[in-house]
Amino acid sequence: MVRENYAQFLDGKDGFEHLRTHIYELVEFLHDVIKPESLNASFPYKVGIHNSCHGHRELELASMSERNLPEFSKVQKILSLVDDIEFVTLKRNDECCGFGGTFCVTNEAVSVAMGIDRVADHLSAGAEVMTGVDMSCLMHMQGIIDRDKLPIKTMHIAQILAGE
Amino acid sequence: MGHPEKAAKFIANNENMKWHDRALWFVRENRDLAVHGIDEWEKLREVAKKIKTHTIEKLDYYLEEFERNAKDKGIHVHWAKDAKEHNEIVLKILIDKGATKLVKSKSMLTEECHLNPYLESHGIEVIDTDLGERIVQLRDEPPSHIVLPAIHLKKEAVGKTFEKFLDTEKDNCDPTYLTRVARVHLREKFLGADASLTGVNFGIAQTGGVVVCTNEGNADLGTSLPKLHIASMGIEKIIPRLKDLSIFTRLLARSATGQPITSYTSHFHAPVEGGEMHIVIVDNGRSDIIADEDFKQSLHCIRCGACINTCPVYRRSGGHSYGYTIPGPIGSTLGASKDLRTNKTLPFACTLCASCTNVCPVQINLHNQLYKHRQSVVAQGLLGLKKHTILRVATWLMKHPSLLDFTGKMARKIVPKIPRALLYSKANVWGKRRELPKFPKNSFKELYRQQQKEKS
Ligand code: SF4
Repeated sequence: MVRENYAQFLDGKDGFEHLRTHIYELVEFLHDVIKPESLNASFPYKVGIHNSCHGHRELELASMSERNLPEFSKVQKILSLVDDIEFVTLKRNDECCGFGGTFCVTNEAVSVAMGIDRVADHLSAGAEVMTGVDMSCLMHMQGIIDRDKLPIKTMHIAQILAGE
Repeated sequence: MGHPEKAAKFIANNENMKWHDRALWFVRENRDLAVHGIDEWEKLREVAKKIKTHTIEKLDYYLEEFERNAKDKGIHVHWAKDAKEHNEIVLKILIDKGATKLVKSKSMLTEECHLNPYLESHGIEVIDTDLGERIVQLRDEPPSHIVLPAIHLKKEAVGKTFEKFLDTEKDNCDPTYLTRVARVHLREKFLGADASLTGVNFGIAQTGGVVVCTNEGNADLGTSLPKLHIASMGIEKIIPRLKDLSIFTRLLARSATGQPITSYTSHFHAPVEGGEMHIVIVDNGRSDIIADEDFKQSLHCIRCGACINTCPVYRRSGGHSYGYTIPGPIGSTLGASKDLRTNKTLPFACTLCASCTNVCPVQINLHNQLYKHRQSVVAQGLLGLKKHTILRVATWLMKHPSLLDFTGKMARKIVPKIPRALLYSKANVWGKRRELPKFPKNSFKELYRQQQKEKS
């Protein structure tokens, strides 16, 4: 967001260039800058990765299902450093969860329908935990999980990497 | 009623909505398979974008070249600045030839111009011959998708419609049976027609001919039987050379349905023997879009429908919820360009997930355009008082960090103590179908400061 979309408001302003080139998303920072080879963490659960759209398609944290380019996932690569973690395969690898900022209330019905579907995909894939890089997506889906008392929970990727 | 309200109605029929979502996702999956079948896919998209960008830059030149070459082939060329002129021209051609029965193949442009009701009000019988279009025409509904016009209808609904209009057996909704009946019905119409109208997928400047892509062959039948063929074409359909065509035909069918090519790719380069062919070239607001740097790319569209199929909002809200001729991402941007006031909810019928931009075979920056349109909605004061006020307050709060911190702190203290009935009142739209997040004791900032203190 800051890197891709703030230019239209802040271009040429003092410090913006510095900000734009020095801001990283967490996984991106770990993957591209720190490049850890191991993490002191274990997470013996089945995990589904929710590819949040802005990280996925704007920051290109992983290859997109729409494109015909080599496959990769920085998110999964970093998570793979955690011991005992198991990944599930989703039917729809990178569908939007429907949070969408103000969309979640201004287009409430669609937003909720999308969230329900996203959680269901993870559930039927056998995931115990859904993780991702974007807090707001997870908050939205946790809201649905809590309301429907579903046997799954969301965790931010940082929690898993930190060995919580 | 804007998009959110109409979408909510569509979703209220949960089972139908899920079926709609799955049907379109299936098309998207077929598209993915086809796309992964050719290694040069991304290269094709790039080349296609370049050709389109170049053509739109020099559109006046290519349009005139097209007109010259078409006329040389004995094709009549007409220019229409808007929908009204287009409809009048078509009617005049029909009247001049004494034609009263028109068969049409798919043309989103004539939908955009509302040609059917216009002609009907002047005593012309208009029959849409694309099966999906015929179904919605019988039901007096607009198409809900540009490639799959009747995708909002299950076979049972089609069965009922045919029962009413085509005397099919009661409760028989077997697709093969229904298709056969439709075929017989349409054959009669084809044989009785005295004029045909087609859309245009590509107009080739170099040759002066037009290309129409269909899967049912209805354009071919329609144009072969009657002696009069009218083709309606938006100005943006031009491509420079015949050899450019292959780039687009390879992209179009794969993106639309996952087929390597449409079943029929028909070239019309002259009137049929003893007949007449007319091409009506229509602007209807397109020049204004070309003049707008932010949105001109939307004219690169080849109407494959891939952005519609992939759109998670479209799949769950149905084509009619958009209230514009073309639904989904491309419709939302075109609609907003055309009439922002009427279509002001469309740029917001989107989570900015960007799937459309990446699926689009000609690389149109669809989601960026919708984001831009949102800014125009705000700038032109069309947002609606409630949303506007909320955003104003939020902006103000965010500009005052210490106040924002304080508000957060208070919320963390107060919200957990509010009785559930009050907290989940009607005003809490989030909470209609979702629990609120559990409020932590401390904010990230507080935790961070505390840790720093402990360290030092
Ligand atoms: S905008 Fe792109 S994806 Fe959408 S219909 Fe047009 S060409 Fe196809």
